[in-house]
Amino acid sequence: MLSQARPESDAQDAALLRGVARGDERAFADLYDRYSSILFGLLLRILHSRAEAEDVLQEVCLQVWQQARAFDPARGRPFTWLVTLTRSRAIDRLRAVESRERAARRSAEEGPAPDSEVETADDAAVRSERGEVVRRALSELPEEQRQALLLAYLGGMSQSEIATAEGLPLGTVKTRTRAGLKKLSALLRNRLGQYAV
Amino acid sequence: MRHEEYKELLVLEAAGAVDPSELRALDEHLASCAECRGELDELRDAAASLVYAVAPVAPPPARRARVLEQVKTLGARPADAEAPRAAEADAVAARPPAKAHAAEEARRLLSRLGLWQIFRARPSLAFGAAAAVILIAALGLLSASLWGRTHELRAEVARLAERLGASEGDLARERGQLAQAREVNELLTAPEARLANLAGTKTAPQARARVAYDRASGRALLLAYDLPPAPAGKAYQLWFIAGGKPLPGGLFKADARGRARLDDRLPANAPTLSAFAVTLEDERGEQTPKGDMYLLGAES
Repeated sequence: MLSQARPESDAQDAALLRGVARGDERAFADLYDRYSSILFGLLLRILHSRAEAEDVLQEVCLQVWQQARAFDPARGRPFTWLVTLTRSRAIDRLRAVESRERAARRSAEEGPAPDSEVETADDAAVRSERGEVVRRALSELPEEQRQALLLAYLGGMSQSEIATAEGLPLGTVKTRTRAGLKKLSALLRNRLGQYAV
Repeated sequence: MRHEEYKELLVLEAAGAVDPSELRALDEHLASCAECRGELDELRDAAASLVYAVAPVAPPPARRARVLEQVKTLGARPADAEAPRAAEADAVAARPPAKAHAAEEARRLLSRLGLWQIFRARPSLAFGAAAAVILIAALGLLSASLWGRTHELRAEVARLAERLGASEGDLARERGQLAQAREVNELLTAPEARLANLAGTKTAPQARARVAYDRASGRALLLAYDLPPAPAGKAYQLWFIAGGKPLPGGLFKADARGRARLDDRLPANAPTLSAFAVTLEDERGEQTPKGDMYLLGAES
């Protein structure tokens, strides 16, 4: 499990979540300070709107506050739980927004959202450690697998939508998405032993 | 589906790419396959790492303050203390608000519900009649739920209140949500809405429920009370009995007082819907009922 990558960090996160589950506001604030920039960046990438991203961040925080009790450390890392639920809320919001506005979707290969701020020094430190490992691993995926994976996870597009956009059979898109994630998982499993979260 | 196919599905699920129509089948399989659950967890770890492909962006400091304030407001308060206030809110929400007094009324109501501090902290909030009317309609959410699931409702109102400090565009969105709450209210009171009364079975003789539904809109609302708490990992599931077959409905849990509410949709293409049932299932839900039945009733 990737949780072997940085057991102290995961243990700290789990302790914070237990605090949140007990209604400890200080633990919640610490968790927010630790992860809000990462999660907000993700929201901006998926939603391409600062207003929507802030809204969903508030929703995510509420969900974390209310459902920390439901987190089961045996089932995965706190980081994974936070990212997964943030992405889910973002996709829900994206679908709601799309059904009203039918906004055109941009490629997931695009850089940070146009109105993003300059990252802080702390953020840079996080990025330089684990981020480098992840980005390097990503670059080692075949181009079409990386593209499919990023479009699916960060681009908010369904497999059918990707197939249509790329002019590919649905089966091909699914194969590339699966292969991409399996390869990424294998690469990270091998490489994250010595790196910090 | 062969096991190999489930394994492929779970990779897609971790990548956020699984088709919703296949999700239920996958969930059913995961409920009984520890190997696949473990593999899914690992793959989710890898997928979550993709967030490092995105630049982190610090949210504005004002957002941090709002989040911490909301959390402070929602901090544990005894549920019983809220119930009488909910009844007050019902009474007020039922009266159409006169515009002149709407602002004052909303202020008083929010103060009673302990939400006034959210507004006090927002000097930019123009507490005009229009905003107050929206607020009172928002509190109509409370009247749509006949018993105080007040903790969640306060969160809902707090969230809606948050947005009154936001732009007009956001208000339009909120009206959509309020319209939805009004729909539910109408469903409960509309003459053409159909009602089914469900009685507790031997498993839970004290339990009762009512399902209000409307074929035209497809909406169904279940309100239940005196249900025993669902054990961990389990949830109640509603079933629509049509043509003698049970069709799966949504999942829900009862609160500490045994009350529950489920907003659901009637199954599309259901032939004569004759009855409703509630069983206790794995919290991921089932396609056919497997657990004990707790409630059963026919259309009245």
